[in-house]
Amino acid sequence: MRSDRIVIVGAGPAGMRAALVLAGAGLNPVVLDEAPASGGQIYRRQPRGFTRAYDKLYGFEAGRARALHAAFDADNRIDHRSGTLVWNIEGRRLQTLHDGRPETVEFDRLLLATGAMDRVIPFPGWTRPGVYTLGGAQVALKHQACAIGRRVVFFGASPLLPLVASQYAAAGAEVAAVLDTTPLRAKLAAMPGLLAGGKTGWKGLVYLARLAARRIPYRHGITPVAALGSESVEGFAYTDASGRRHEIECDAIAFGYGLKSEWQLADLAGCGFEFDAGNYQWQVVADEAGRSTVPGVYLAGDGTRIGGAELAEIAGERAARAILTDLGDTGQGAALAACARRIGGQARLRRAIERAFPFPAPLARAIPDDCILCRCEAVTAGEFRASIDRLAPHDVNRAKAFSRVGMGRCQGRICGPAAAEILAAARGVEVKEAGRLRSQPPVKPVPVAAFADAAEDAA
Amino acid sequence: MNTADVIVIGGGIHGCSTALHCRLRGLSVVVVEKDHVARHASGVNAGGVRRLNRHPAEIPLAMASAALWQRIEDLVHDDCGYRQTGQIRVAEGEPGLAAIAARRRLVEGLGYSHEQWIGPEELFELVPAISRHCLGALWTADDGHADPTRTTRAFARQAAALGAEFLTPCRAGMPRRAGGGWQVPTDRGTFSGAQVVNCAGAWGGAVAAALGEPVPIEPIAPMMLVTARMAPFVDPVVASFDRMISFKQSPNGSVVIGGGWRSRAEPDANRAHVEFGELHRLIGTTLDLFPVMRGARIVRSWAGIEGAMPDAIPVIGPSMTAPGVIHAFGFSAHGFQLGPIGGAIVADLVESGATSLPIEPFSIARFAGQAWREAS
Amino acid sequence: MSGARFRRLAETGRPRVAITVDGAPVEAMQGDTLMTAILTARGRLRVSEFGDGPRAGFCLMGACQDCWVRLEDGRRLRACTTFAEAGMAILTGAEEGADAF
Ligand SMILES: Cc1cc2nc3c(=O)[nH]c(=O)nc-3n(C[C@H](O)[C@H](O)[C@H](O)COP(=O)(O)OP(=O)(O)OC[C@H]3O[C@@H](n4cnc5c(N)ncnc54)[C@H](O)[C@@H]3O)c2cc1C
Ligand code: FES
Repeated sequence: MRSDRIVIVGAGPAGMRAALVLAGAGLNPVVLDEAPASGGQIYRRQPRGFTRAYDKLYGFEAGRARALHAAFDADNRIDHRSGTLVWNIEGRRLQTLHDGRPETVEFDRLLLATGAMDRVIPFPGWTRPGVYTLGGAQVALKHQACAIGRRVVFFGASPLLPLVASQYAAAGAEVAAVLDTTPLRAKLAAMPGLLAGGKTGWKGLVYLARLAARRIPYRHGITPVAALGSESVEGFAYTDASGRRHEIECDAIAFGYGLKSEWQLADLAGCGFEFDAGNYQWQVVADEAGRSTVPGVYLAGDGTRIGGAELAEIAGERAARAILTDLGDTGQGAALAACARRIGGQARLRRAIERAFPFPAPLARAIPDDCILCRCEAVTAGEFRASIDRLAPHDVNRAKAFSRVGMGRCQGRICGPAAAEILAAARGVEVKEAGRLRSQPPVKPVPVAAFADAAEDAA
Repeated sequence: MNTADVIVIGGGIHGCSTALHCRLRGLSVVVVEKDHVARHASGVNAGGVRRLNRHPAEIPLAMASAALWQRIEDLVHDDCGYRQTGQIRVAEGEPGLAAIAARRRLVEGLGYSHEQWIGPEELFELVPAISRHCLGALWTADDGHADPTRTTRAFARQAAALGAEFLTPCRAGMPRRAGGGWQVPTDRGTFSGAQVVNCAGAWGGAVAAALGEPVPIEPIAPMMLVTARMAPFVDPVVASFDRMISFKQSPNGSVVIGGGWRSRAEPDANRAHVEFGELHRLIGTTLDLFPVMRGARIVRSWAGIEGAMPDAIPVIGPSMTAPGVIHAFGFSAHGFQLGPIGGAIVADLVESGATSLPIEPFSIARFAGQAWREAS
Repeated sequence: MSGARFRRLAETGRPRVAITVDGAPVEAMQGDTLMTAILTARGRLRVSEFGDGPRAGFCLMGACQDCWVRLEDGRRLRACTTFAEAGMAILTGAEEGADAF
């Protein structure tokens, strides 16, 4: 068993914790991550030479981040290969670009801990310079000590909304307003669940309080209208809960509607998928210990089920223990059960968060015809609807073939959720009936030049 | 019970073209497709409309099909994205030049003049972006490319507009004799017809086998790579006599690269995988031929399921064991250009049992019993 | 051309890195991504190939692919995940010729 090659893709909390558990059992896991350093999204590290302290960077999460970074860095049984993009899976082989050069990594067992990205709904003007995702705005701050503009409007429905806005304010950026698309009554209805959820549930309130203390307006039940301006953002227009239109002057906008799993590699590995009603998105099927439907392929973290960093870390441990069990270690039962209990204990909080920040599907269905839907191929919502009317595609893959929506370089990561809603609306069905965009290798663009150099080396 | 003159199994370009040509002759048609029209090879091929370098037996058919491509809009009321950009096949070394010489002797010997030799100067003028190591090429000026999904759907749409019935998604079972005609069980009931046409592509071998005439068909999965958009730099479709590549820039600017690189096909699971293992060689060839590609990024890839015959030409013609059944399958990765004429040939056979085009080389009889094993 | 888009809030004591953007010298800092280096001096990274105007990235985490920039030496780099290096010469304008987009 000890010679099994175990490869983990993703060095976020899920992948790091899994690697630590496996290393603790005497194994030597390989950890691949595209990023230059471990940490993933939430515990993303700043580049060398930056000097901000942990509590400045990670706030409430500073202790956890420091502990995880330190343990991971100290463990020399972990073979962490940063700067490694995994762009394809063929059988038991991963195809990677390591510092821009193609390499093949073989595995016997694979843990996919590929994390998540922002889920967005296009709105008029969203391709203009100055409009970013909430996560993107946070990366600018955490990783680069920059704000995305001088005066920023934050909007959407996402746990990141109050968080990133208050991080911006604390770092000295001007926050023009925080505008939540969720109606106040929905937020209030979710409150008991949030408050029962322990520390994590309370954090959200702390962010709100901090925003209030700085007299930053926080509005509920808004509907975005447009990013104003020509060459770049000059303002944001929205309607309030009573339908009245407002305009705010700003030079940057950050928005998002929760997170969306990065499951392309799981798709290429052949894993099964299911539509998760709570998260309102397709997720990879995992059993109670994190095994996918493909033998030898395991799952953990936000790439499998959106749940946040704390859950990701537990799920990482759980998957590692499932691997150990499958390798013949019979002593993992109690620890696995403990993981299951901890994960189960967060279920109520998770549902409350889903309810507090619901995906506003009607907004996606109502994207105006002249608004760009697919920013890779510059296809408007109207063009997409026209192709649906004309060619009557049954699912998003057909719709993509007819319209090029989802065919561009992001492979539908950005426009996919909204496109599925528009198709579902046109067909008069629930969004899950519109299907799921199939992934194609490479999961991210790979430069032709990288292969050329490899071919020269081989010759 | 549902009846029609002709029951077509398969909604690829040959099935849809058959339906259209049968309707044009007043025959009633039902097309049974297990997935949807253009789901497989017909919708995901490279879109090459090529006579250049075809098997000698295919040349007369390809010439007749080219005439239909010329007026494709009259035929299907859609321009199918068809562009006559020409097709070029270059020689990169002595073996390529020798292959060109042999090819010219063969084609001219058969009395054709569509494939023309062009020397380096003319080549560099036609394709300024091509590498200067190329020594010349064969060139067919009025070949080109079209949008495969759009073309196949246009045939289906026009056939349907003329009254053909399309059942999709609807799986057809194996045809069985009934009285003087045939019955085909399907997911939506049993259909009976005077004649059955097997246009089932990679799955066509199963139909033939059920009729007692198994063929050595192989399911293959040709792969394609797609780059991010680039400003237009090449018009014709470019291939090489020396290496496996086909190279084309789409009207939208993305470059589509293929050339017969195959991966694993799983016809039963409806899946084709892309396997990059060998593809770095294709990328090497790409860069050798088009240095401008060094800045390109591959953003997608795909593979489609196709049926290949061991002699690389399709099965077209009446069944040897089942009177009233006509085969048109196994197009071996180059059946898209033949689509417009393929349906006309089948309609000829349905109508009169004969066609004026020379289809003997495509007969399923070539695989009968010992004959095939001995010949091979 | 519009002014700077990103605003530095801290960490401004880092060593400087000299690059050029559209031929003009720009002073970046060690540890800047190309995106930060460009957008602290300019308002855009590139111009959409579809004529719908300038773009300045979107996700900052290597997912949207809307931040690939062109270098004078012909390289193409994803600005949000590539660190700026001394001597890089970036072009943000609309492109012409065979290497466009
Ligand atoms: C932008 C953003 C900001 C967030 N901010 C917060 C926050 O402030 N507080 C909070 O509580 N939660 C936040 N979350 C949620 C939290 O980050 C996640 O719940 C948690 O990080 C999930 O951990 P993970 O290990 O599953 O994924 P991640 O931390 O995302 O790690 C996955 C890793 O996999 C790598 N990877 C993926 N695909 C490949 C591939 N093909 N090849 C190589 N490497 C690959 C990625 O580069 C990434 O490093 C945020 C999420 C996002 C997306
Ligand atoms: S900004 Fe999205 S990939 Fe760089």
